[in-house]
Amino acid sequence: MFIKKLYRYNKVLGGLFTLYIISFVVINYKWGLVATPVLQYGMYSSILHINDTQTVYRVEADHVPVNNAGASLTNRDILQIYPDIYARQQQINEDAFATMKKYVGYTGISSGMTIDRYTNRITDSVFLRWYAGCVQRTTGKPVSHLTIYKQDLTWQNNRLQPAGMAVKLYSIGN
Amino acid sequence: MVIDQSHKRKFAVFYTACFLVSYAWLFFNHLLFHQLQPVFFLNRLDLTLNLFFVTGIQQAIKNNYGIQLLFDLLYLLLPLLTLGFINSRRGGIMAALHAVFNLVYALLLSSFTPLSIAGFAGWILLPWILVPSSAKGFYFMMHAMRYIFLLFFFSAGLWKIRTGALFHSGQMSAILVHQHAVYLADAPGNWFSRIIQYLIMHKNISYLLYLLVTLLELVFVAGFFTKKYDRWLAGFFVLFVLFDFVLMRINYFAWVAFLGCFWFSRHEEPGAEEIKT
Repeated sequence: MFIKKLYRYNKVLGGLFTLYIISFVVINYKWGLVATPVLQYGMYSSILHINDTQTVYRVEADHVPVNNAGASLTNRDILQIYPDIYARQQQINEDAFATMKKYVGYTGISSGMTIDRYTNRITDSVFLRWYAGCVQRTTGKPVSHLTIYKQDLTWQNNRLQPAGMAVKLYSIGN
Repeated sequence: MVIDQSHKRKFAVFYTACFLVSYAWLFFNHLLFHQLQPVFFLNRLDLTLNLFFVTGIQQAIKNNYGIQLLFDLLYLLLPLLTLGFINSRRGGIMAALHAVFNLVYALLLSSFTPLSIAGFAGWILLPWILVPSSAKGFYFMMHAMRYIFLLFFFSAGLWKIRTGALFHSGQMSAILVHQHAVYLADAPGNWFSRIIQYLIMHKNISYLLYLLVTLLELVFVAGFFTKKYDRWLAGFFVLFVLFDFVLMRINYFAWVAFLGCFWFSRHEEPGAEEIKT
């Protein structure tokens, strides 16, 4: 048995390997908290439904819609994911802080765990100026005016169709 | 054949080559810290990440271009130094430094970008294989990582059973809608969109793909009992990476470095042949 052989070779190594395997099993059994490098690998194991609402972000650079399908995989992810996570970042960070404070407390170093370290002090205009740079890299053209819309879609009649009107989230520039 | 120092060197070369490809991908996609110059970070329920956040390092990275550049340079230099010092007395220290730094870098980069921390697993774990100076130590570390990789895949298959996703016939169609929503909305007439639409509409065919991938993940359990099928498992993994990239547009290339563990696993433990005879 490998663990036995490893333990005979080096007790510390054997112990660490056993600890990793046990932590992996525990963390995977109790889905929620992880401790990198002990992670969960679900790989699309949560149940999804074809009629679930999908949210996409439509970006207009200088009043011209940015073609997401023409962007590289990474640029498309950046254009789509950042408006979503920016809108939720404050809530996500505050919730994570509240949950993790207890666990960090067990290590005895929670005195350094202050809310200002765990949150971003950022304004919409700072984010939008930065995001405009990402759009510029995708389109290859300078951006002086930027608008981001949020659009919900659902799969109906064998195609993705808008579920309601697009909502204007942010706008910056002339 | 018995594992020796030359195998360790070959493993290090393979690992470094994979790492450099991954680094180049980050570079050409403008995802290094100094290129991205991020303006906000996202926390998550990860104890290790939250312990690092206590230091305030995330704020320093966000606000200081010099630190961003330093991190990107160290991320590139440490694997090269590890390779340079391989099989020397400083090699183990370099490899350990490289592994620890990769952990910090990956945690931070994944909190500033949409990149998943799971994609960095290879860069966090594999350098530890190069820490022991002896061939025997290399043998044991390599096999430990091989088991950990088997666990990743097998657990992904188990999760699909546990959540019931494997028994949901519309799962793969729903995954495809979710994964490609923006593409389907922006270019519905495109050849790739048409393939995806076909799979979404033909639930049985797409479900068959999901079932096959789950079986492929579960098959990795064989590796816990024998090394005889390691070449097959390596082949299955390459198929998985290609399938994920072509159909799902997910890049799992960074895990290719784990294949080194499956390539060298056929070699015997140093010293074991003497015991046998």
